[in-house]
Amino acid sequence: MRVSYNWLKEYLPVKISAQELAEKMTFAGLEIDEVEERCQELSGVVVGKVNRCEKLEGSDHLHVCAVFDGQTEETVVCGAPNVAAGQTVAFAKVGATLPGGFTIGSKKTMGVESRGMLCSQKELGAGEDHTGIWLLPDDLPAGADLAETLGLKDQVLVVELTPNRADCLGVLNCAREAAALTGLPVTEPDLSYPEEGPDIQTMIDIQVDDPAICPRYMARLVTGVQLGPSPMWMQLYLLAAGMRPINNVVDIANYVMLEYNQPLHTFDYQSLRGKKILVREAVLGEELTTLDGKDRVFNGDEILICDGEGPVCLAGVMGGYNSEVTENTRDILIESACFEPVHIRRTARRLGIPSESSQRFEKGIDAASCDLAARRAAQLLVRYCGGTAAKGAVDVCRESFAPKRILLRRAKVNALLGMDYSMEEILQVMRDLSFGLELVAEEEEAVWVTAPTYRRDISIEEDLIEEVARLKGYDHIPATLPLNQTCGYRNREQSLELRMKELCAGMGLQETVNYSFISPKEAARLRLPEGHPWNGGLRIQNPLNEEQSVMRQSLLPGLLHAVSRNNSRRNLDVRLFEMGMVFVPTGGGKPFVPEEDEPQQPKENLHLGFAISGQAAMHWQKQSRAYDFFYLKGVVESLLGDLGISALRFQRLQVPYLHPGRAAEIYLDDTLLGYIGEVHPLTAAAYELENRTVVGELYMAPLFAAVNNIPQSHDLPRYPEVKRDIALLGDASVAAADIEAAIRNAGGPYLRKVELFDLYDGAPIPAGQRSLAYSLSFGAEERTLTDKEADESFAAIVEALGRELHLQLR
Amino acid sequence: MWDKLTEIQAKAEEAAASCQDLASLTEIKVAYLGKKGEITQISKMMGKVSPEERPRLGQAVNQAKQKVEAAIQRRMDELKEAALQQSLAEETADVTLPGTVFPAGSLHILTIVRREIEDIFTGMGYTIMEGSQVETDYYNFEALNIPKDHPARDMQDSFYFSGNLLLRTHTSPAQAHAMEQMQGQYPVKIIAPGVVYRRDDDATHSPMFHQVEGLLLDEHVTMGDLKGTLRAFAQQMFGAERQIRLRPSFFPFTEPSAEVDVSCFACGGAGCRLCKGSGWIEILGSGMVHPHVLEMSGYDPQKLTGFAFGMGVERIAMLKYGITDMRLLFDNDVRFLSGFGRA
Repeated sequence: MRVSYNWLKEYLPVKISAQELAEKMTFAGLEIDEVEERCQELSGVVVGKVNRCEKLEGSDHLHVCAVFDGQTEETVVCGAPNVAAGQTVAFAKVGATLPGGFTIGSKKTMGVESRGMLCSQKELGAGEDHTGIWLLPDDLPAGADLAETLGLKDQVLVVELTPNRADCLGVLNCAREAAALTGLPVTEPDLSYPEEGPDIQTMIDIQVDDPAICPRYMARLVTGVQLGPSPMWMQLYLLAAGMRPINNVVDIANYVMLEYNQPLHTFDYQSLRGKKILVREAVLGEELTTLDGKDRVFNGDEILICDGEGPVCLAGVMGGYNSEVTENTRDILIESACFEPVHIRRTARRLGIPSESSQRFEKGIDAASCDLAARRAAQLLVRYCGGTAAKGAVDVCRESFAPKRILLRRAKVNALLGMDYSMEEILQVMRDLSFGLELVAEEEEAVWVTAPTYRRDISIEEDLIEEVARLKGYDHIPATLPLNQTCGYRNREQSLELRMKELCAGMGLQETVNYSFISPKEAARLRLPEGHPWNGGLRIQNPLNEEQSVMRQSLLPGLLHAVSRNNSRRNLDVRLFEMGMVFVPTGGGKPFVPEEDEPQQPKENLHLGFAISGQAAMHWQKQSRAYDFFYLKGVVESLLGDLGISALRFQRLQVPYLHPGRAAEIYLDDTLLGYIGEVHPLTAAAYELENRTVVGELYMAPLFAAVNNIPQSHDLPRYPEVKRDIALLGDASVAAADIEAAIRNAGGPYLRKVELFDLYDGAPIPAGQRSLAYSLSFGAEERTLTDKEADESFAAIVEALGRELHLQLR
Repeated sequence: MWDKLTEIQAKAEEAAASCQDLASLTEIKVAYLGKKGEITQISKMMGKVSPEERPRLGQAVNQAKQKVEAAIQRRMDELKEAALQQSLAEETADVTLPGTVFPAGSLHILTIVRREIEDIFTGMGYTIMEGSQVETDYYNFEALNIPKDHPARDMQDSFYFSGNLLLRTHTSPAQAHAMEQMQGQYPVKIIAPGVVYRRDDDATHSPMFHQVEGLLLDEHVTMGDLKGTLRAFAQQMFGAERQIRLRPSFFPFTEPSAEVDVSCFACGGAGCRLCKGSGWIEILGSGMVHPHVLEMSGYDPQKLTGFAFGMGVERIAMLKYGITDMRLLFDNDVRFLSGFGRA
């Protein structure tokens, strides 16, 4: 909302600067974004009369004008298309200053010395119109200082309104707010005017179909109006508010809307067929050509104003072409009504025609102001358009707009704010706001408060308490701490989650955050077959774009894009992790079919995802190796080892997006904890990855469930261990995990540690075979183990490996 | 014999002193002091001297032995010291070469800031609650006093899955969830960090971002308590000298409502580019829990009062760590991710 400070001053004798008032309003909750200066720099611009105007020889659009500035006649070359002799214009004399510090000099144009400039609204900073020079009323005296005569110099308070204070979309209500802050009285407009026409009841019949869509409909009638320009002061206020002056009738409607926050509509009374008005909902398929010349077809949930034969106006949004006020209009029916906000909002949205009017109805207006605004409009039409007002008004109003009484208790005020305001202080705030007061009883320290109807945001005691707090100033509220004693902590899952992230960072991985929504195209990149569950992700109905339209069921796509983005910037050493939620659709037990099923709240599962790609930067100390499956496997093992989970089983996994020979699911007993693997070359190509990339995901729910809460200490072994190394040769397809299991099985009670320390499959080992070397530790709890005992265990292991897995000692 | 002993001793001492390596020294030791060594040979000749002389000779042999041993030991120490010096000299490294590299991992700055916020509030006795990101219309709007077609729904454009299901637009639904879970018990004292979504995407908005909601509900909670709590937060987050300022505002689920500014931590309040000359920076929204919200979740607003606040994690991260473009936070460039080691 843009509020002219000059206009505000019509209601309130403010003496402080606009900046000071802006500051006060901001700290009372009406945020002023900016105080805009209007025409403050303007000097040397006077009212000029164009005495003569002739085409400049040799130019197709320039005119040479003789302009009288009150003392002398100056020659001015003017390029405006609308310049003509006899006009009263804004004349910037030589030496004048225009907004932006632009100074007028004399200059020669095609041999003619031009001394000054005729100005458009925009050149003066008074408005946006730049189609031609600004034509001024002819009664202005030549030579008068333009800024002073018109009152051009102004300031505009640009108000950022919160939805609860839509009342301040009216200048008068802004003045009331300012009054409460300054303690000054508001002078409301005098609404008297002569009603010399016939009784309006005899001239129009108005009916409202359903008061739910239109709680109040008022009309007044002014006959015999003469269309023309509106008074200059009104034009300037409209310009300051950001509206374009059109003609006196339209300007008056807009002016009153801005003044009272009550949108009006004006009909050409003579065009109303049957001299009837009916307010009703549209019928599906019904049509109306609106003022902008567009044919509108209705859904059925619009509110229409109809005459005796059909629609003439799309209520609250835009008038109809067939009842528009034109140059020939003489009799004006003023509509001042209150329409139901939701209908108006839907209609304005659907048709894409938000307007000053519709945005006010959407936010809700004060039905009580219908009457004031209708009177004001009739008064101004009589005063400035030479009209005659009909007697009375039609008021279709089936509801009472009596304001609500709210009990305000001093104890509650102070309890909520942590203050100690006296009853008198509280009452004073209410009086400053012009709220009605009715003391309950002196000793009870409570009062019945009646807020004016325009303060639609005031409905409960807490609303009044906020009024007290904001007008006294939030600064007065002391900073205290709550008295309650409670224990704050992260719960087990939250602590584990944070610890895992910190461990990942400790192991050299970098945490990323990716969007939860992904592209449906990820399925193709991951080479998912039809029917794969990841294809059925929850779809957003109104995504920003297709790339962000499906809720992810895996962290992989986001991580792979992150690797790819880094690669494209030549970041080739990429070690990423993400702790994030995935969204698994639930379909009440049966598989979710996106096209058919009503979406249910999905299951939100926390995953820890990894994507590691490339290799560490080269270093003088050691050869750098590309990150591979075992790098990530080591990360996972260390991570879970820290949580006390060690007996993991890696089981070969074949999925379309992973290398079929380098991927595994991770099990703890029979519980699936996640998977890791190298990205399939085709998927890697689809994501444009530069290097081999290993990825994985761990599922936090089963993992957290598997964590033992409190690790228990074990005594250190008191007797030395006996070490034996064993080198084995056998078929390369025998899994290391099986070998280790066989060793442990056969090793007997003294076997403690089994560690693979070498793996070799080059010459002279025959193709298809490999050699594995393990270091074994044996020990007993209560004594030093003898060599003989260790040898026996060792022999049993060798025997079992040979028998079960056909491995030989090497 | 005496002369010979003297001579051997002198010869041995000379040999030890001039010996250049440990191996030769060992040989010398054997040659003189070993079982067949020259000095040992002399002591074996003990039988050939008169019984009177024997003790004297024995003493002399022992003395010679000790002298030679000492000479050898001394030389051995010298040689060892020389060898040590030499090997140290040989092992001299170029201390200016780079050290062994440990891959540098990092937490995301949003995790770091969230952890800071959580630590501050858990320190003040709040527990941490999390809720679902796909939320029902009821919890995201209705239970927060934002009925259908309420103008406040204009303030946030949402991502919908159906008429009833959407991505939560704020962490405020946690208020209603927390109260319902507590089933009328109090105090309710939680913070709720999490991911939220709005249909906005430009240099200052991301369609996905993070918030932390806070709620305290108890007997005798005042707006002064809100102010004190948020001041404690601001001082821990941005520095002990920080002050806060409350400005009246509007949220459907709080009444009274306040925007909270913190005194600028870049200029201390004098006015600078960060605070756009005002000395203050807006950091969060807050207010006293609206009685309708309490009633809807089964609490009696006549008996209990509460405050709630909500802050943007991105905003705080950007302000505190000088991040100028929000898109960097979701871009995941490893060079950006590496930047917050000390945070």
